[in-house]
Amino acid sequence: MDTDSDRDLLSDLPQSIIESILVKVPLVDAVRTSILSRKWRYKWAAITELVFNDTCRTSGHDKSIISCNLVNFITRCLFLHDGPIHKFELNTSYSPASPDLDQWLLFLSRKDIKELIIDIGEDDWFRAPSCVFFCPKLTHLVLVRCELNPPPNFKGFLCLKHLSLQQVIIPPHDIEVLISSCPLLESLTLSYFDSLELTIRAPNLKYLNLEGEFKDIRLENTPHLIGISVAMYMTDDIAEHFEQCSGCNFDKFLGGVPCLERLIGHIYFTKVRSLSNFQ
Amino acid sequence: MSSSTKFLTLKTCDDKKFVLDEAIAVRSQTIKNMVEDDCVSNVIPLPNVNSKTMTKVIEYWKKHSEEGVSKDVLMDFDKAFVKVHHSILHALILAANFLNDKEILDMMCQEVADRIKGKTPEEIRKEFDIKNDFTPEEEEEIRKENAWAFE
Repeated sequence: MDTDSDRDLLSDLPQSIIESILVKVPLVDAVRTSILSRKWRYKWAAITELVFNDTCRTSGHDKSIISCNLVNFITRCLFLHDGPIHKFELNTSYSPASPDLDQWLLFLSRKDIKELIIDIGEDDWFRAPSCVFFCPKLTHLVLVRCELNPPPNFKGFLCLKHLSLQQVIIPPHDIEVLISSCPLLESLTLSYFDSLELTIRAPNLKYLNLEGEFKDIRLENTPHLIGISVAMYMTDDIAEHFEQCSGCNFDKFLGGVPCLERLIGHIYFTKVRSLSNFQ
Repeated sequence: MSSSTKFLTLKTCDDKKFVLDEAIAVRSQTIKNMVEDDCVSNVIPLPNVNSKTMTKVIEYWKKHSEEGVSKDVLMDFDKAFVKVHHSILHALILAANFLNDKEILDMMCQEVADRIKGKTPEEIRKEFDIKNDFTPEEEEEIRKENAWAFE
């Protein structure tokens, strides 16, 4: 005999388990559980991981309406949310207007945010508001197509372990300062940078991924690096620069990594362009 | 079987005993900690798990500890394993939580999530025997409050 077979058992599971379930469904489905019963009304509102993507947008074809719906969805969701938010991911091809994004980020910076992932739009860049630099608990930061200007009173990301910057515009000096002010950094990805000259100082770094046009990369104080993946796109003048000082570069690049286990390199020469006159 | 194989006896809340290879039982982090801390006497009591649920858990542990089982076979096993009434899912979730077996817990939560995904509220209530205890007025209020998600 099974007395449990038609009882509502799910609703009384501990909140931590309810959360493990709700983070596995799209956020829109999680919010919709509020209508199930009194017990479910605010269960979704306490989940600590919020992932917004194109599944959140409501139906429609007009780009501005979809974008507006998405902004409304995110704003309402944050407004009704209750408690800390540890992860916020925004991954969409519809870029919200800057004031909305700035307000969300300010809100999140006050909510103990640990993981922040912003990948928006296809052609637009957004400027990260200064509050992004004052999220002291950040462990994981991924920014795509973003303009970064660390404010003068930026004290570093003291807990940051994973940093990924893709198509990010940042003054060359600031990126070095940014990297060296993350003392726990374990994994660093820099993609699609132009002509970057960079010295990386990261005493706990284990994984380094570089992709783009790099003029010169030096590794200083990276004793724990075990994996490096480099994909370089070289334009003619960078290739020339490399030819002029080849040899010493690799020495500088790999001289300070005693624990290296894996090195993956791709170098693409764009000299092919000069052959592109054939028809 | 090597002479070093150690066996543990697990006792469920309904007083049923299960004798199990220690190497398999330590898939439970809770049991593993007890073994490592040397707190294991003859019988390990599992006050939060009944024998019916424990039988399922052990079935899973044994299958996933077998050598030479292909990934496809395991996938089919897992698929069949989660196709159970929600009351059994619930019991397995609580057992996995108590035994601290993240693999089973994660799989069960995923199954509940899959049964919620893309469904209407009415379908979800039916699936899990959830009673709608809102008054029509309250339901209207919530639909308004969350209209942005129900459109």
